[in-house]
Amino acid sequence: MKHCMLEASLASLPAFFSFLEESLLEEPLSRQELQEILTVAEEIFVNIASYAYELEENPGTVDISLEVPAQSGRSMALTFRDSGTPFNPLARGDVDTTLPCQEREIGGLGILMIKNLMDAVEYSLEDGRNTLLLEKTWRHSPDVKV
Amino acid sequence: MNITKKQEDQTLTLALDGRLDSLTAPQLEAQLKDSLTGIEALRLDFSNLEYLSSAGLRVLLSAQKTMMKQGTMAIFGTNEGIDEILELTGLSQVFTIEKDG
Repeated sequence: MKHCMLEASLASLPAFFSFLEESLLEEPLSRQELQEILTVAEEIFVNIASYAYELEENPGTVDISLEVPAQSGRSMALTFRDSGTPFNPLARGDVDTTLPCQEREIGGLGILMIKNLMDAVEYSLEDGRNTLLLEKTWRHSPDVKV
Repeated sequence: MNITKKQEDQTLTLALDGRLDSLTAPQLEAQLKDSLTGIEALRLDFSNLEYLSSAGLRVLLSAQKTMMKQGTMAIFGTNEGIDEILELTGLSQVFTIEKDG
């Protein structure tokens, strides 16, 4: 299990991406699957950085753990924990992707990506901490590494 | 992310190099805000764009709204991962995406 603890602010995003990329380097996943993970992870990280500690003076921290490979072998389990305001990001309704551009609200697109690009997403409040667990299984063969 | 800007008459081409994410999206937003006056065709070159997140999509959608009033906007050079994000969010139907051959 790999861990990292970061300040819940946008400035931590590059460090967070490096943590994920380095941790997943040896895994047999495709370039596209890595991109899917980074996209979803950014949504969640930015959401926490923007809202979790909004009501507090100092930015808090976000605790990230990554289990690779997870139980089933070709998969990962990524967990975010923060002590901010209790909030379930999955509770929002899905966006209607068929609406024309002018009527489209962009905010829900992040949720749509999270639900579609991961195999399982689960929110819980554990000991007063927001806990979001993401699971994904590798399906494509890894890109040939030169 | 690096943005290379090329203008010929009323056609503006912006080539993006790197990642369009929550940190770099404001950079593109500022560039567009400064450059779109009088532009009739906006062309976005994604050949060297590795990664696109929803923060980037938000800026692209806003550019699309501006360009619908004054001309056209087209995106080209997208990689598979970016195609997937555009498809998934339904934005592949909203944007004009040019594919080679």
